[in-house]
Amino acid sequence: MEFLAIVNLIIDAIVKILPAVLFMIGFPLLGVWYERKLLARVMLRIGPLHVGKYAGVLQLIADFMKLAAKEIIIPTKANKNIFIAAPIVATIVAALPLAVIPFDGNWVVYRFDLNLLFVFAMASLIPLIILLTGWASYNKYSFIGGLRVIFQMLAYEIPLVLSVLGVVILTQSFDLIKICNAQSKIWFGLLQPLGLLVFYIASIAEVERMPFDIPTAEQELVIGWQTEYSGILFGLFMMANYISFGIHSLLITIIFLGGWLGPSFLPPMAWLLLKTAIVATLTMMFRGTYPRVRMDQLLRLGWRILIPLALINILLTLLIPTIGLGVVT
Amino acid sequence: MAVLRISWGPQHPASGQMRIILDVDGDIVVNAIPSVGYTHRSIEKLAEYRRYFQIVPLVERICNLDSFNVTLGYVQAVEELMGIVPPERAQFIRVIMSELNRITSHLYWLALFGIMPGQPTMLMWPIADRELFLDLAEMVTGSRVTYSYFIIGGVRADLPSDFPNRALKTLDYFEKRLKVYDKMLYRSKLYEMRNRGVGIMKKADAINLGVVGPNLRGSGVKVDTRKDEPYQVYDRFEFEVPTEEVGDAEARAKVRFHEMEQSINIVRQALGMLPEGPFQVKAPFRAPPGEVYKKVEAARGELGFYIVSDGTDKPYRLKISSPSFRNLAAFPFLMKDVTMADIPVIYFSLDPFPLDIDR
Amino acid sequence: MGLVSEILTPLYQAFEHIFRRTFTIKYPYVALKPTERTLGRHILDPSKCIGCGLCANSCPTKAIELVEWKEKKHPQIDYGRCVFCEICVSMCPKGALGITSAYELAAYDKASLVYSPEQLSVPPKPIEGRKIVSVRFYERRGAAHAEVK
Repeated sequence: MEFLAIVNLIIDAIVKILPAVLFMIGFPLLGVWYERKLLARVMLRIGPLHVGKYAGVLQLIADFMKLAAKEIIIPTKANKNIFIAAPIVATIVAALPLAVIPFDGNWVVYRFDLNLLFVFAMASLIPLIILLTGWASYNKYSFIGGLRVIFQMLAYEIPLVLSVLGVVILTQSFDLIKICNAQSKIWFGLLQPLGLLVFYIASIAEVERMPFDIPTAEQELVIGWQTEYSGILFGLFMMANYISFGIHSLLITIIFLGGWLGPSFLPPMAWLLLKTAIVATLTMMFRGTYPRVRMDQLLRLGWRILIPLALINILLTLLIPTIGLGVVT
Repeated sequence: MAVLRISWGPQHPASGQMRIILDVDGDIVVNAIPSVGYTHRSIEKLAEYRRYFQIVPLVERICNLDSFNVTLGYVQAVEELMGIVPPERAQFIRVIMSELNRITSHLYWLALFGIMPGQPTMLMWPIADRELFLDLAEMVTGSRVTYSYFIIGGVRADLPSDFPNRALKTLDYFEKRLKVYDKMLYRSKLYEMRNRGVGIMKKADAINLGVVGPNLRGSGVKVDTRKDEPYQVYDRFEFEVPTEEVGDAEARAKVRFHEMEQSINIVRQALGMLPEGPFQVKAPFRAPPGEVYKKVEAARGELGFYIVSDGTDKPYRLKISSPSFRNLAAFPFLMKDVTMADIPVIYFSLDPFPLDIDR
Repeated sequence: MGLVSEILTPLYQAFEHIFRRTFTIKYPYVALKPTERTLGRHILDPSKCIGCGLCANSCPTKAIELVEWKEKKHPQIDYGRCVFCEICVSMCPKGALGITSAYELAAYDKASLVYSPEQLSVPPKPIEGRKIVSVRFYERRGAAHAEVK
C-alpha cells in the first residue's frame, strides 16, 4: 500500500512536469529548425536539408552535438567562475517561469496565485546576468555589449509590465489561470488592442530579437556580449534565448489571445500550442522583414512612445467598469 | 571615457577588404582613417609586360562585378590610340552588355546595402535576380563574371539568336521585382529611420571632395559621362540622368535605383535598333606612339584610362583612375560625429569596392 | 495611415514570398544546364595541331607550355593559372584547340591540375545520374528552375 502510493506520487509528479520539460527542450530544437526553414523560404532558399530523413529536422541535434564537442576557450584574464556559471544560470533563470505557467486549466507544475509577477521577476534577472557576463569576459567589446543590454532591457521592462495592468484590472487578479478562464466570452486582445500591441513590441525587445537585437548582432561588436563564448556555453546561451522567446509567446497567448480556450474538437493544450506557434511565426517573420533600429531610436521608442501608450491603455480600461460594460466574472 | 582606437579591419563581417581606423569616444566616432592596400595586385605594372590584347583579361579584374564597363574603357582607349573604329553592330552590342552589367553591379550593391542594417532578406533577393542577368551574360560570352568579351576592334562573337527574346523576358520580370524592392526597402519605415539624414554631403562639399558617380548625383550635381562626352553610341538613346537633392544615404540609394530603371530603358531601345553587319574589325598588334585618355561611366562612377605608347606592342604606361579611389576622400569627411551604428550605412551608401581602390 | 502601410507592406511582401518556388537548387544532385558557349576545359585535336606556339605566346598568364608528345609539340595547359579568357582558342590558326563546357575541374593537388596533351585530347565525360535544370519564367511564381532534358 505504501509502495503503490509512492509510485502513484512519482508518476503524478512526472506527468505534471512533462509539458514544461518538453516545452523547455522541444521549443529550442523545433523552434530554431522552424525558424530557419521559414526564413529560408522567405529568402527563396531551401534551409536545412540533409540531416534527418525529412527536410533536415534533426539539424539542431547535429548542431548541439557539434557545439558540445568543441573546445571551451576561456580567456586568461577572465573571471573563470562567472564565465562558466553565467550560461548555466541564464538557462535556469530563463526556464524557471515554466514552473508556474499553466498549460491547461489545471495542468501546472506549481499552483501559485501570483504567477504573473513571478514571471516578470525572473525576466528582470536576466539583464543582470548578461551584464556580469559582459564584464567577466575581459573584452572591451563584450563589456560595451553588456552595457547596451542593460539600456535596452531597462527601457522595455516598464512598458512590459504596464501593458498587462489593464488585463489585471479587469480580472482583479495576477493569476494566469483566472486571466485565461475569464476570456470565455471575448478575448482580451480584442478588448485591449493597445495593450496587446505594447506588450508584443516590448516582449520582442526583451528577448532581443530582430528588429531589436542591437546587443547581440552588431556589425562592429561581432556578437556583443557573447563574443568570447564557444562550445556548449554558447549553445546554452542560445537555448536560454529561445526558451525566453517561447515563454513570452506563451504569455501573449494566455493573457491576450484566449490561451487554451477554443472549440472542443481539439484538446485545450493543443489550442494553446497552436496559438503560440502562430504568435512565434509572426515574430519570426519580423526577423526576415525589418532591419535593426539604432540604439537611440530604440530608447526613444521605449521611453517616449510605449510608456504613454500603456498608460493610455490603463486609462481606457478604467472606463470599462465605470461605464458598466461588465464582461468579466 | 578616453578615445578608443578601433580597427574596422579586414577581419570583420562588414568591412570588405579594406580597413578603416575609427577613433571612438563612447559611442560617437570622432575620426575615420581609411587604410587600403590589402588587395593590391600591381595591375598597372603587369600591363607593361603584356601585349595590348593580352591586357584585356588583366584589366577587367580591377572591378570584376562591373567588368564590361571597365573593359570598354580600356578597349576604346586603345582603339583611339590605334585609330580604328569598330563597326556599328559591335558598338550597339557593347552598349547593351554594359548597361546589363550596370544593373548587375547595382543589384550587388543593393544586396550589401540591404543587409548592413541587419536584414538578411534583402541580401538574398537581389542576388537571386542577379543570377538571371549572369545567365544572360553566360549565354553571350561563356563566363558569368569576368568575360573578356570586348576585344580591340569589336566584340569576340556575335549575339546568339535567342538573346533578344530572353533579354526582354528577363527585363520584364525584373521590372516587377524592382517594384518589390521599392516596397521592401525604399518605402519601409525602419529603413527610412536608418537611412534618412545619415551621411549628408551638400553640393559644394561633394564637388570639393571630388567624389564621382551616383554619390555626386545624389548631392544634386548632374554629371554623367554618358551625356557629357558620349562614347560608343550613347548619343542615340533617350534616357535621363537621375539626380537627388538631399545628399544623404537615402538619396544615393534612390539614384542607383532610378539608374537601374534607366538602364532597362536603354537596353530595350538598343535591342530595337540593332543594325546588321560585321562585329569585328582587324586590329594591329602595335600601336603608334602617342598618348590617350578616355573615360567611361562605370557603375561606381567615372573610370579613366591613360595609355602612353612608344610604338611597340606593349604599352609604356597604363594608368587607371578608378572611381572608388576617388570616393575614398569622402570617408573621413562623412564619418565624423556619427554613432557607430551609422558607419555601415554610410560605408555602403558610398559603394566602395576595395579591389577598385587598390588595383 | 502612411506609417501603418510603411510598416505592414514589407511584412506582406516577405510573407508572400513563402509561397513561391525557391531559387536555389540542390547542387550537386541537380545542376544547371550550361549554355553552348560556357567556358570550361579545353579540347585538343592532335591531328590538326602544328606546334606553332601561338597559343602559348598569347596566353596572358603563361599557362600554356609546349611539350613533346607523339614526336610533335603540343600544348599542355595548367589550369591553376588559366583564366578561361579564350584568347588561345581564337589565336589557333588551324582550329585545333577548342573549348568544352566541362567546368567541374577540381582536384586534390596542384600537380594534377596540369593537363597534358593526351588528357586534353580526350573529350570530357558527362556526369551521370543527376537532373539538369534551367531557368523558367512563371507567370505567378516568378523565376524558378525547372527540369529540362
